[in-house]
Amino acid sequence: MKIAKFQLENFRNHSHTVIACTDCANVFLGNNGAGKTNIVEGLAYLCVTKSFYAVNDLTALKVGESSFRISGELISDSGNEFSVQISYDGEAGEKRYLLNGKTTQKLSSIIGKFPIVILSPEYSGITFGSPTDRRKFLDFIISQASARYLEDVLEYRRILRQRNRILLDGKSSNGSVTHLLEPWSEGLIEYGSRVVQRRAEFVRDFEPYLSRAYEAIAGEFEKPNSKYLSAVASERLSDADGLRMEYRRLLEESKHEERRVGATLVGPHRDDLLFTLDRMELRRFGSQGQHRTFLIAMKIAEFEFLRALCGETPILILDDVFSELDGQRSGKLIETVSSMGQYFITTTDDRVFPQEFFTEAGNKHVVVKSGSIIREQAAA
Amino acid sequence: MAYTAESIEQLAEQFAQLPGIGRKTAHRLALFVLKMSREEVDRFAHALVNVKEKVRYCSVCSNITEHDPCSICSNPKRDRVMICVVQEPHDVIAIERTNDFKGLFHVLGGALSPLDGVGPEDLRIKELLQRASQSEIEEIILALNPNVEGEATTLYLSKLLKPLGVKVTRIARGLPVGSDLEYADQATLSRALEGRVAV
Ligand SMILES: Nc1ncnc2c1ncn2[C@@H]1O[C@H](COP(=O)(O)OP(=O)(O)OP(=O)(O)O)[C@@H](O)[C@H]1O
Ligand SMILES: [Mg+2]
Ligand SMILES: [Zn+2]
Repeated sequence: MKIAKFQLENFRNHSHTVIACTDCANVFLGNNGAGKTNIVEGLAYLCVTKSFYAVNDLTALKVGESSFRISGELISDSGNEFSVQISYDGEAGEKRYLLNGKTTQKLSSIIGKFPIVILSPEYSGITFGSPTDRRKFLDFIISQASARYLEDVLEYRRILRQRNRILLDGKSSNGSVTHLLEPWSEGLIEYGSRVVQRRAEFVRDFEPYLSRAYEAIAGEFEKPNSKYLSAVASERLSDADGLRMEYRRLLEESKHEERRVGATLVGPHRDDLLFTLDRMELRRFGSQGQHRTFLIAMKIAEFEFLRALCGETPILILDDVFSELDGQRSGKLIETVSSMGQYFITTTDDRVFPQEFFTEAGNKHVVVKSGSIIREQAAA
Repeated sequence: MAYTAESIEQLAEQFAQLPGIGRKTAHRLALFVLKMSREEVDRFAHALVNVKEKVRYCSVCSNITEHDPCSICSNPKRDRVMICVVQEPHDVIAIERTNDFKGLFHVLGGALSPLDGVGPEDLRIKELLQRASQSEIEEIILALNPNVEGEATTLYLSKLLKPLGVKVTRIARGLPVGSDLEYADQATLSRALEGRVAV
């Protein structure tokens, strides 16, 4: 997938910004607060209908305006052209997605069509943060690779919320809620098992991609590993019937506790992902540099994984990645991504790029200031 | 606001209550009413009141009707051994359009949804169980929406219905997930009815 051009209207600090893209590096340069991240955030909206860091759509709406719009022209690897537009009406709280002029409502028919990989400090939570960060990572990448998975996850979350409401309401009453929970438990087990199974499968399939990417970034230092942690016994993960049985047993076992707590206690919404380097748990023992390297390797692996599974080169976004890397690693990163196709990169300092970089064909240099482009230059 | 008439504001407020109508559209509609002739406005207002006065729920199947029992329940040609259970009156229309179903209906009035405060006592389940216990009833077909709420309600009902000794079936899952029965095309709905399975 490539983006030919796109534009932001009343989005963040951009009133009207039009960007014609090149096929390789699109570098956005500017001071802190200029509006560089806002530009690549717009790309995320275009590809997956949402931001990678805004808490909600309203915060992305330019202050004082009533609606924003992002539109773009995309071209698939096989040469098919798409025109995409996403708009948000702040007053009605409504988001609209137009694909080739047609309104598209189903999330699962959008996600994965324009695969995207984002490397941003926002994602340091994947290695540093809570299980929620890691589950989001899992769900986002698998959803892009499988529309079916996204549907399953959405259904699962809905069932979970319905079921938790019964448990929560039941906390204040003494009556039995068993007959009310029962019909939801069936769906919980059905969809939950599918989600757990698909995630475990993913972690297994992702392993070689991760090893390869880590080695490319860090050299042959440590061996990375990842493991899916689930209350459901790991030896059952590949056997669908066994998994459902185990799930049912665990749910039954937790029935008093979940009534006491007022929430469902077993299932994919409680699972986690464990990362290790040479068998040492990354979250607890990893150095700052190891965390960063791990995250970058994960994202490169994500790129290669999605390219293989979607049969489409993902759009790559590198937001503010150099501020955390030394010169040598920055150079290595630029070298690595330069062979990955089109990418979008934000930086406050273009000295991280080699001198001849901006004279190479396909690379572009865009200077951003106060929500506008004040200068742009593409190599011939 | 001093520069608009209060009655316009009030009318707009009424329009805004309707599903899918935002504040701006409500305003446009209110201003449109202003441009309509007196007769047109009378007809409009009369139609609104009429709906409320004449339409009621069928005492047998809970479908909307002007005559109780409704035209389906009182039609001697309908097959009285089968009841098709649906969520809303518009689902009855969707199934009637297929011309494939000759039995009776039962309109639940929704599906279980704790998040929306809808529990078993908010649906016409007691009435369904009563009808299902009548000796002439042979089969209950559960035709609820193919989403998580419809699924849960199907399971809940089948658990209550089975002990009554009737055959309980559900329409096949050929319908797109997350869709409403109302929007399924006729061919899909026909196939789903035909391929119903025991629960
Ligand atoms: N909804 C909004 N309306 C108007 N301006 C906004 C809105 N949201 C953010 N901004 C402005 O956008 C600017 C931040 O833009 P952005 O995050 O893209 O900066 P950046 O160029 O990436 O900077 P840095 O180098 O610090 O990461 C801030 O000045 C902020 O005030
Ligand atoms: Mg930034
Ligand atoms: Zn009737």
